Amino acid sequence: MMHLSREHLVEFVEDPAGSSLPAERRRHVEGCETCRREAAALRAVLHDVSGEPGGEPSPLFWDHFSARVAEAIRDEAPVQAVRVWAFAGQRAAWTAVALTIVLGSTMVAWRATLHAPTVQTAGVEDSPRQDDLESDLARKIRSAADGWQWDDVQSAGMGAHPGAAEGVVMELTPDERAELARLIETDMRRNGA
Amino acid sequence: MTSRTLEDTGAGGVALEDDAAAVRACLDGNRAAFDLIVGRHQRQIYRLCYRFAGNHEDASDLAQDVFIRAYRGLRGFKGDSTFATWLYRIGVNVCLNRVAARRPVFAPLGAADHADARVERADARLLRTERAAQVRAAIARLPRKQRATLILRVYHDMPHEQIAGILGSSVGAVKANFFHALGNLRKRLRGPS
Repeated sequence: MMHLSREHLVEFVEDPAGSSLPAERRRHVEGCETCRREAAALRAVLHDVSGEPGGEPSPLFWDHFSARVAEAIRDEAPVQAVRVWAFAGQRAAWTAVALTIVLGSTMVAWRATLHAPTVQTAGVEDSPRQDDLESDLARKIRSAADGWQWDDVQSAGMGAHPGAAEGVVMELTPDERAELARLIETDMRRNGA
Repeated sequence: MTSRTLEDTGAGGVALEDDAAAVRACLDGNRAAFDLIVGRHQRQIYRLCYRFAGNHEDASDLAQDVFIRAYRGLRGFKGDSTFATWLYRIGVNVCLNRVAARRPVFAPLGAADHADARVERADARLLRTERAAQVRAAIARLPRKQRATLILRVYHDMPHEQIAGILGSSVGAVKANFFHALGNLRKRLRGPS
């Protein structure tokens, strides 16, 4: 004889009268001592478990609890504002990428001009002069950086840190260092230092 | 349950007849709407946590954690299930993850857990207290899904279908887990028959 499956036994445990069981299953349990005994044992366990009292706190607890949750939520970012911050984070990342590209290409262009042969190009009208090249680069940087906020740059991790200038100088070749010294000297003379 | 408005919470008179409306208000930036959600569900969530934790201290911490996680994940509520089911799902996950890490510490039963002391004899009361402790300990030793199924079915009176929605299982699996939970408790509480 096929006894009740686990699922059907659970249904019988929860409905001792069997009123919700299909007629065929009801007939089975009426005639099957094994299934009835099994269901009765499980029903007794269910009765024991159901009678176990749960902890019910003092009625005053609920106001205290609500206030506690509200306070914890106050420390959270507003759920709506999460979208704004996510967008801001994305924007900062793109800003960092753009800034890196611009600074990188500027550095490459600057180094290339340092090692270029010192050919006199003053008479060649269609070649850009050194000053034009620099001002063109400066224009590009200015236009790329237009509208950036200092906070964007800082949050993108692009801020200068102590020792950064020294680090850059130590990486320069002797020629580059000499050129840098000359440029600084020229600039200081121009400013009357 | 009586419907409340945001006016009740001092947040400005928007009628929030159901949880979905409260969730929308939260997502529109109204934090006070979440207070309504907490007020509506705190008892059920606390009781759920108490069944897992076994003491008031841990239960209130767990319940608070459930609401904070719900707040953080509010945008993830798509309305595919009821809000209560969604919240219970978070609750069960929080409880299983946290409580599984350590054996629950059950508080001794308080005076409120006893029947009328004037009519109940001391030895009967002691017996009942011991029995309740045995039941709690036996439930605590059940495998995770069996334990969650038993708690939701017996102490929260949930239909198998809703439990399946919370646990992400089929109704058949829920019934099978319930069957095994009762079977395991039977062995532990009554001994092999």
